Amino acid sequence: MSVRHLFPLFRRELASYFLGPMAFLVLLAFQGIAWFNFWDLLERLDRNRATVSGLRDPLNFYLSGSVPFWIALMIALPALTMRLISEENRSGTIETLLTVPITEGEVVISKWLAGVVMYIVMLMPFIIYLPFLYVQGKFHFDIGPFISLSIGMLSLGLMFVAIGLFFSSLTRNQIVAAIWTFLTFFLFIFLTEAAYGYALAKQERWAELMQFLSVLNQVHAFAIGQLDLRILSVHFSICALMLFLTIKVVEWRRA
Amino acid sequence: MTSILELVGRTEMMILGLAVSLFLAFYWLVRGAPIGQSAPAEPSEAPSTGFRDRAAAFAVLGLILVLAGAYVAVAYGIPWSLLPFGVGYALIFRTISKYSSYRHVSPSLRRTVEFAQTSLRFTLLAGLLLIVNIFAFKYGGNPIDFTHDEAFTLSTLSSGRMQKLERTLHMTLVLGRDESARRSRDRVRQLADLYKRENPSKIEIKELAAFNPNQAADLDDIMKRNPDLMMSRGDAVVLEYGEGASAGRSVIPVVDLLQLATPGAPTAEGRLATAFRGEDAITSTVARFIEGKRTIVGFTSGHGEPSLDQVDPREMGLGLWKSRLASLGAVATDLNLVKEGVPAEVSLVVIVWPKAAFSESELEHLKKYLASGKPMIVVTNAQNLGGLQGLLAMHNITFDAGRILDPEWNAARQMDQIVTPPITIPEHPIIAALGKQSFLFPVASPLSVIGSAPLRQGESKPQVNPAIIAAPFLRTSPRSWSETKEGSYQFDAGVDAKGPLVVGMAAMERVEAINGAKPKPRLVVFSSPYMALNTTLRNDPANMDLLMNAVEWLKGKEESLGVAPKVHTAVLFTADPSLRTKLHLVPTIISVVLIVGFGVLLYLARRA
Repeated sequence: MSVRHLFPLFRRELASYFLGPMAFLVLLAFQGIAWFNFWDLLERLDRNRATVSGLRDPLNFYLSGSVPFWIALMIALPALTMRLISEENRSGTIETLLTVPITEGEVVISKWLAGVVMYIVMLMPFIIYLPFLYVQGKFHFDIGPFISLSIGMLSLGLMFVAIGLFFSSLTRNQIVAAIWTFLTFFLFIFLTEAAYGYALAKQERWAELMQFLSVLNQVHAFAIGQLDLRILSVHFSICALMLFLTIKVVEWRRA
Repeated sequence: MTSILELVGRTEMMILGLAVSLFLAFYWLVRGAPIGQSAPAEPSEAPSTGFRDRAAAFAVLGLILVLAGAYVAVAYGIPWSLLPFGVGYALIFRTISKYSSYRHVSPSLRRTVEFAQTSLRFTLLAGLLLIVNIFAFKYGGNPIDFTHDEAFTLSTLSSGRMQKLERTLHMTLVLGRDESARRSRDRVRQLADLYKRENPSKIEIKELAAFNPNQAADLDDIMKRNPDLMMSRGDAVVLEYGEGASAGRSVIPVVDLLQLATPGAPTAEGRLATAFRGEDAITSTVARFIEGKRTIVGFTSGHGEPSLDQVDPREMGLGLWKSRLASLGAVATDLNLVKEGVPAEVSLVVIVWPKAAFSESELEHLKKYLASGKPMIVVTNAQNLGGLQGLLAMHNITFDAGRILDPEWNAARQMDQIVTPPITIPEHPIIAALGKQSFLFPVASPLSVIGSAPLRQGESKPQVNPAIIAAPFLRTSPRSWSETKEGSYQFDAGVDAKGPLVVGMAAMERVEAINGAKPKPRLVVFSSPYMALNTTLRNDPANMDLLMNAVEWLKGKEESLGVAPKVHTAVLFTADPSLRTKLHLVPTIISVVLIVGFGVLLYLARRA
């Protein structure tokens, strides 16, 4: 696969996000949620209760324990990835794109990279508060767990965007792509957590497997400062598999 | 009939069935028609139907063999998988190389070549991902710990111990109703998980809730096996090494594991440190299981010593130390030397704060005990020696006059409640594992090594035991001094000895430096009668670690020296309403302005 055309294609995709109002509206919505989360965090911290370990530190739940954040992510990410290929399929621009001497791999990877950058930008409103809390608020929290959380959220984003891109390649209808992506995220985020809770209550043997697969548990582990290489490996594997399948689907459509 | 069903039900048969089904399905897809039906007609210049069918069969068979190779690699090992992998990839490569030239004349051969190319890419990617995952799961089982206080890292001591387990270690967390134990429940669970990760096949973790009626039978069973559980308040960790009558068993009350690392309330900077010594307790207990014997520690009595049975942390007893010894598998017992000598099964004698003097016969018993090569701990000061001077002198240790005062390193601003400054370079194994901790030594006297001080005029050379080496391991701060005048709190140059002063000293037998022989530990002296009491241990839990490390060192087991407790420093957030508002608004406004500003700028640029 050639990468000569990757950067121009990536720039084109990224620009297409910001040339419309959609990305800004999503960012403003995430800013609102981030503000609410931070307000909630300050409330928790202000209760002045000393924790006896990092496990119950309110900072560890800043992202991983925020229901509004996860719901917003489950809606915003499908909304951002749904149009990446299905819109080109519907309008027929994919045909034009593929007649120029570029490979399907370049098209898919550039769209995926643009989606990942957009995902990172969406998380920025949550990060902007923390330096203020550390410096201005003189709240010298442990930075280590934030590094592991950042790495974990990035690997999760790589996987989620690849999944969204795959569903976008399967259909010409953006809404169908968004619904399939949403359902997959719902499975990863909430159903695995519910299954874990059920298995734990019933003391089933597969509780450990569900705990490992549950995205909420994974992110919580990252947030308390545990960087599990197995989780990263699974995220990267799913991401690679999804990108491969997406390339194959685009190749198949071209044929 | 049954044997046929058994044959069909075997995993290998099911895999074979799956492989045949996959072959038929893919063959249909590539050929354009299932087996038994004629393939769609192709242009006259295309190769014959038999040629095309063979090509499709080779491509599909190649993929099936590669998939079978992956299964064999996982189920039976990589060497067995080499043959199916080799044949499978050979078929795929042959399909690509041989039939590519026909792809423009035959639609089905074009399909076959594309199928082979996709198979090749897919299996290579899947193989790569499989290898990455195998490595991650095999070598990345222990997550990387990003926390400052290393909350998710076991010491190498604990890790090594868990690797050496020969029997199954059952770790049961019994949940009670005590509120203080509940606070540390998360940490205990997390610790149990860390142990499990070290040796998953040999460690089993279970939770039982005392208030859950569904688990009443299990709870009853575990209580029958471990009667000490009934005495424990709140949560407890029950450790059982092996099964049946030969199993090692111990109950560790969780409430004893978590204490304030620094006495008092949070500091002015809004920090409160808590120490969690769960790892030390569990690892030491497991060590005792592996050793398979219990240590008996005899505490002398009859001279006004504090009571071993006093467990109230507000009272001046030795119950907390006794409880800690018990949780680590040692038995603390009263020792009355009036009638008889030290029993043979006692492997360590401890003398704490004797207010009355030992009789001659008692001292003879103690000397006889020491002559047998067994060790001793003495915890007292110069004012409460109980006639032990001769015994200490045998080990080249003596108490100097006075009580130590320290205007800077003290607790509750009382100059005689001295606190030892953290040791940056630990020189002795007793303190090596305790990190940079401070220890509380109320009303202490200075210790010195006999023969180490320069002789004054008219003084005769003191008698030194050449077979013993005495080594100081704990000192006070340079600002401290030994106050010899009663009621005075002023340093008198030339009269009072200036700090740093020794408050902890260890004596060991001198050995020839041949054959790698190590000096044998004989005696440890702490120069504060209060440092081992419940009241002190409650205020400074580090003293407990110091005492336990002294016990382990004297037992000659340096590898058993305690694991330093995990100290978590909670940062408390203190902000006035004005600061809180600023923290809310400033980042929000900056962020909104950036988003809106960038959007408007882009809109204007596009319009232009």
